[in-house]
Amino acid sequence: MLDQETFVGLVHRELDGELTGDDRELLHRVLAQDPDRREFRERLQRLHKALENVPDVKPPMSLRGKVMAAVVSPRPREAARGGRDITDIKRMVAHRGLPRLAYPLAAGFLGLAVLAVWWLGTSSTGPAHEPATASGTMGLSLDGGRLLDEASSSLIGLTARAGLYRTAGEFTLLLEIDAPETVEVAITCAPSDCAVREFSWLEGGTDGARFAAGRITATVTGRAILNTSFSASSRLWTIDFKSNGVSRGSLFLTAESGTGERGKPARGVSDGR
Amino acid sequence: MVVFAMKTDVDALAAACARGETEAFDELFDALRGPVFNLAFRMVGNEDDASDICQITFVKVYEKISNYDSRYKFFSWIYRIAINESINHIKRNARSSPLQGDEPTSAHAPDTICHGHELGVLMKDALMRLPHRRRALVILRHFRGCTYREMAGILDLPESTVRSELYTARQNLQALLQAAGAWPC
Repeated sequence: MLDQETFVGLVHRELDGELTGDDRELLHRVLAQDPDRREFRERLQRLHKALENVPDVKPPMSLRGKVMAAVVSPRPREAARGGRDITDIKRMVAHRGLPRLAYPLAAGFLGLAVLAVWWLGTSSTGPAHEPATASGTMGLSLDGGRLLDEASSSLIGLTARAGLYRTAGEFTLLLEIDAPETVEVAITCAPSDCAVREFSWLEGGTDGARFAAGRITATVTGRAILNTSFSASSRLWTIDFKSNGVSRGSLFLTAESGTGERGKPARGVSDGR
Repeated sequence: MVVFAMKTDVDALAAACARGETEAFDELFDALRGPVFNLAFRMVGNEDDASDICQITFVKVYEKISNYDSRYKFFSWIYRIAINESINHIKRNARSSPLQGDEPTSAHAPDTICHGHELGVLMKDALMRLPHRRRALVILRHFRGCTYREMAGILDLPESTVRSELYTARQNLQALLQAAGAWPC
């Protein structure tokens, strides 16, 4: 007579497809003689069936953009289809082992250097952008826009949340920050032909904010809400936070195809994630 | 078999990625984002957190591709990263209460919930009440089709432990579903 522990093991292995020929024969002999053990096997088989019937969940469309934005800044034409070229792959292999945010930060520093000339000539605090409104303690909403993507995080030393909206012929990005200590914020769009149209502070902020080409930089202390708009050619946004020159983290937003088809009616940026 | 084909293709893509071949990482991402996202989703129980874990997992793969030993299955490596990230996330957020708290409950009679959506919901609840390791084993076996040996490799456990923990996990699931009035069907 087969002891219960061995029997249970044989049934599990059979249903898992891991039973060998001899053991299968033994199990079937035991099952043929014992209705209680047949019942045990049937219940376990039903559990297997029930687990098989749990459907898979579709990953969010924004996942590709977030991963690609985190690992490397795509080239303009590649960004539209989410791909990269051989140069990017070589860069990846040559520099593997660097910290996770090394590439976005390096790209950010490079962008800073290139854009420094621009900043000298084009520093401005842009005009107010009318459609945006702010309400509640940590809630954002945009009249007349469709929410395309959102991101939020309690980063080291600050809380930040951002919502990307499709508006007539462009994109609007609302960024809410609550920073107990001074933090430097840099919003960079991609691909390279994207452009900042205008920006304004809905709450808080400083006069020292600058924008040029596809980048906005600002310094924030306390609570602030930044309202920005970008050209229709924009696809990816990276928002980097630093304090005392040290990175505190990043948020990523994507417009995917940029057509707004995955957009949802405008609503407050959700709490938490 | 579909699972085998997926593994073979992914190994080839991973090797190509390590060699620096064009678009290998993109293809690797396309091939594995579904499995990795679902693995994370079953581990943590919500889509937003699963998305974050999936993102971290792929970024780690990108950074550490040089550490990947092509003698082993690539999916084992990426699943291990995803499970470790999921467990770290659960611990950080302390949202999980394995085998504690209220049992999953159903508003319907058992004979109406043995099939379909509600059993799936109750199964998800029951799964979330399993201890992390047992939950990971059920996910790897039933949702990702891993063998005992593959699970042992992914979780760095002896095969004997994989078997005994998996069997116990199934007993736990049946008991939790029974308490919810959804078992036996």
